[in-house]
Amino acid sequence: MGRRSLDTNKKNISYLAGIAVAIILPLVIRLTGAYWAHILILIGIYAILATSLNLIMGYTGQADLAHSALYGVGAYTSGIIAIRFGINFWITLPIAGLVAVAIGSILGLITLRLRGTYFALACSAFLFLMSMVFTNLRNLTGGIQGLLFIPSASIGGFVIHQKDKIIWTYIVFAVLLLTIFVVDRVVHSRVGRALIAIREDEDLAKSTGVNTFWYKMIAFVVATFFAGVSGALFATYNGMVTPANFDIILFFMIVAACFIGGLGTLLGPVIGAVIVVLLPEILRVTGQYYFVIFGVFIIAATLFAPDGVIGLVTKARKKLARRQQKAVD
Amino acid sequence: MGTKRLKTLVTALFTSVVIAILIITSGCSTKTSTQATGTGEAKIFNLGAILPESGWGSSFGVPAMDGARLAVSQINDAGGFTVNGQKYKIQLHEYDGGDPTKEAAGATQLVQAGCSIILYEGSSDSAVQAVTEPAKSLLIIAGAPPTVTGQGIKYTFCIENSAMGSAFWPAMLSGPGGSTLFTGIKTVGILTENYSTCVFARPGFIDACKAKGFNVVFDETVESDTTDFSAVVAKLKKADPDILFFNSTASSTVLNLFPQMAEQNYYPVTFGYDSLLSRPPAIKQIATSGANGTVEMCGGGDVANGVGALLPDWASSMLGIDKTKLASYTQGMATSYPGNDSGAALTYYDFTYAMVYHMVKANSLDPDAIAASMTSGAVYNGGGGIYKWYKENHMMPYNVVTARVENINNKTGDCILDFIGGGTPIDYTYNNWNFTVKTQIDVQKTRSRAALVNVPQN
Amino acid sequence: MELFIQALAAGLVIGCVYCLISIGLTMIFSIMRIVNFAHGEFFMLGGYIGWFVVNHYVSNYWLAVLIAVLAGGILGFLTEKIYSRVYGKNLLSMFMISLGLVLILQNGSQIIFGAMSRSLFNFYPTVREIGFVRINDQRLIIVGATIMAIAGVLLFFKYTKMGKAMRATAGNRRGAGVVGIKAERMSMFAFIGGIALTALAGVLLAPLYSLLPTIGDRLTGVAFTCIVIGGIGSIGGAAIAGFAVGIVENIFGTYFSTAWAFAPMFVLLLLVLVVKPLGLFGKEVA
Repeated sequence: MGRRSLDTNKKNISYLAGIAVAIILPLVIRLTGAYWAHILILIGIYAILATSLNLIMGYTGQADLAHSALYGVGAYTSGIIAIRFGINFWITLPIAGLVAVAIGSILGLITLRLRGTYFALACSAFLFLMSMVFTNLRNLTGGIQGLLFIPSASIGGFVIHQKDKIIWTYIVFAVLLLTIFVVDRVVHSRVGRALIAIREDEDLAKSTGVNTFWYKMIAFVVATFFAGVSGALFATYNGMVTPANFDIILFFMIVAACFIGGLGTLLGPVIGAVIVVLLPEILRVTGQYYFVIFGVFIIAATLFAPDGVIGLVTKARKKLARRQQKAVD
Repeated sequence: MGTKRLKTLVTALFTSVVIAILIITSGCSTKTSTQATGTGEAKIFNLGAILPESGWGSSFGVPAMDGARLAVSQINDAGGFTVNGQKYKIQLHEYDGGDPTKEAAGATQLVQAGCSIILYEGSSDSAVQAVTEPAKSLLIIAGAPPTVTGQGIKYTFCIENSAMGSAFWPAMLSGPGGSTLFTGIKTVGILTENYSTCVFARPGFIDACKAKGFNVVFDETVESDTTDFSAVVAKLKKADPDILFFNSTASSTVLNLFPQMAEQNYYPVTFGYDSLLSRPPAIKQIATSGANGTVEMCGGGDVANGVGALLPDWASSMLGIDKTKLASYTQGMATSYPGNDSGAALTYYDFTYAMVYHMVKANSLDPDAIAASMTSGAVYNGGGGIYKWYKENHMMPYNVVTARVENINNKTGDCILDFIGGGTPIDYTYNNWNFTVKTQIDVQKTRSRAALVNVPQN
Repeated sequence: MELFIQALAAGLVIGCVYCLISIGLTMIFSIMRIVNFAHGEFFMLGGYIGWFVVNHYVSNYWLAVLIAVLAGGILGFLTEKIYSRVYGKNLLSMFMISLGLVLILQNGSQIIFGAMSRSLFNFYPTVREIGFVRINDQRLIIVGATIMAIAGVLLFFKYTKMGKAMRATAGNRRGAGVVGIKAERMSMFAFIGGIALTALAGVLLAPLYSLLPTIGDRLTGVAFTCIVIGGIGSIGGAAIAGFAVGIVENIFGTYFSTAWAFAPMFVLLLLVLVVKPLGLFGKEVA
């Protein structure tokens, strides 16, 4: 009993620390300029997307290549219903999540019985199909030009424009904390244990009576909800969405974020998102060569740090502990 | 220490490191090219440029940025420009717009750096505008849909109006006052590239065709980088329109469509927009004999790309182009900018010079004064064309010249251009034109392009 | 009817190219279990290398083909070196490597060759009329080369020692190891052969269609569709699937919408995965 309350105590401290950082950070960033505030918001949105993807990829071990398509579904949904029906942002946000869940569930029903590579391929087919849908259904999605002039969020009469960076930062970070909280709850529940069991050895899990299909579906539902939500955040913040915003490059970024940060950890995707959004900025001076350098970076990260930043930190900590132990002996 | 607390500590540490990096690198995100202002006299004028140098748009963005850089260095080397008695040298702030999610942020950064004029091309026009309009920064774009310069927009200027495609093509078909380039049209086909300006032009064009009683028998859209047109050609052969408009500016459309049509021995009468003539020599080099006989249309802004020197006198005077000046201009560009293989470079080179021209003309750096100068009918006669903006929609009059392409040499791409007509829009709506037809083409008599050409297909 | 036969013929020619790429991929996949999402990039590189040879060295198509194939082999060798380091680890590590490769190869090509399209000069443009069909010599060359390649590959796997060893490794890696077949060597040859075939497809198609750095993306999807439909581990299956996909794609594009021309392929992939994941000729592998 005592130990559990100590753990939750430490967890609460983590959350408080997270909230404190979230409060102070935007103000500090504001000092350095609106550009970095925008970067911070992008980091937040990508972090939500990566955290949700991590539930499927990191904790359940499934290669979900369709995730950015569901982000796109969320973005377009919130944009379309805001433009056509004038529904305000606070309602389009959860609706976008639910629509993403609906479509994600259909995808999941079709594909979650498949294993490994087959599942990855099915998801990638879905990704390409959705991209064609975004581009070709001109009347619905605005086609290649996309949705323009998506109404901004507003509270009562007060409109939150794109330039109100601090408010947007808080909105995005609030949602990010919620996402991490939900994923944390899922992971540390019976569902989470089942997911990890599936990741480690699906056949074994099945043979012990775990209904792997339904647990995977649960992970899918949770993850796609937040994918849709992050899409709605992006659409309303940016004011416009085009199919170019949801191409394969975005997916690469999100997967790289999960991987570089550390698969199967709570904070990994967040750290990964920071790296993946900041790296282009730091490498901006290289111009055309940026993507090549990023590719080399990804390969190096895969070969030398497959457990991501969190993995490196854990290894370093273990080494330190061992050294301390040796010093004691 | 417990795991969780260590994790918190690590997070906090990491975040503070991140903040530190951000603060340190916040000055490094834009590239600026300065000329030494050691004269002590000249002040800095901040010019911004958001162009896609990485990623998908880089085939446009890289030469465009080069063009702007060249102009800036030439202007500064010549001593800069003078407004209100004060000398200015330009500092170019470059921002790579390769990632569409960051274009608007780039605009924010440039505005904060003091850029009162920003050259731009990308995929987030309205997001960037949302930054530049309130900041009163002039936004200069090569091509964008009409929404970008619509009602109430004060500080955005654009060359290419996608809607005009839907206005002046029908004008080519049957011009005002009975002047018609093509006669005898009953059926029409249109092949559209899934690219913003082309997609936007399509509905207006189809409506105009219907209004003139033409039957649209072929209407397909292809992706921008399509190279396999076998399905398209097969469908075309079946539909067999009297005339085909290829509504595409992608070089890959022209390079692949024509040879594949030739392979199927199908040479419809074709009419294209900006695809062959205004493209750089590298593209012309590859156009095969399949393109002989196509009628090409090019606009004033792109004429310098090799066509200008071939213009007949009536076309030059219509476009207001001084041919000797044009020749020395293209020669000068070729020498100082050897990578001159794209209209993008010339356009943004001209943009830079044009903006300087307007600032000097307005004798002011105030955006309202500059915008007023631009819409007053003041003309910057660049090498690439005439730069003058309508005050109603901040778009340029897009004078067009049409020519029939003949005698294409497969290896070198040289060809003969038979100029058959041209016109200038009378107003900003593009619905009324002063159009002159030199050679009329009866599509019923010359049912295929092959018959249009004097020399047999090689 | 004439339209249908023309569409069939065009689809068949493209199908040949898909066929070669899919065989290349199935060789790699069945032996190494590597999901190489960068597969299409090697097709693109094959085309560009051929273009480079013709434009900058000797204006001889066959030399260009040879060099492209050799370059493909070398690239395969190098790529295998990278992939072998993550062999056996999770799918995601493999995916990350292929992602990195896509970025490097595609953007590297864009930097080296430029983002504007390039064309490899067509040395065999003569058009022949075969019944209703008009087809130029280069397309006939593609068909001929594909037939020879398929025959060669099948014979190789059926009759040569190396081929049998590779099949053994694909079927049961550990079992093959027991009888002394070094899996690493088999992987090496699988990669070299597979990528060389893909590069060959690229240089064969290059004279007909423009080269762009992005043409590989779609082909990766096509290759995976084909090996799933045909069944992983089956060369014949990959070949048949290649022809099928090419024909279906072209007929769909001709009779329906060209904007959605690539959609049936993905729908087909999903259908096959759901109904019969092992594909037409797939074998359950250890």
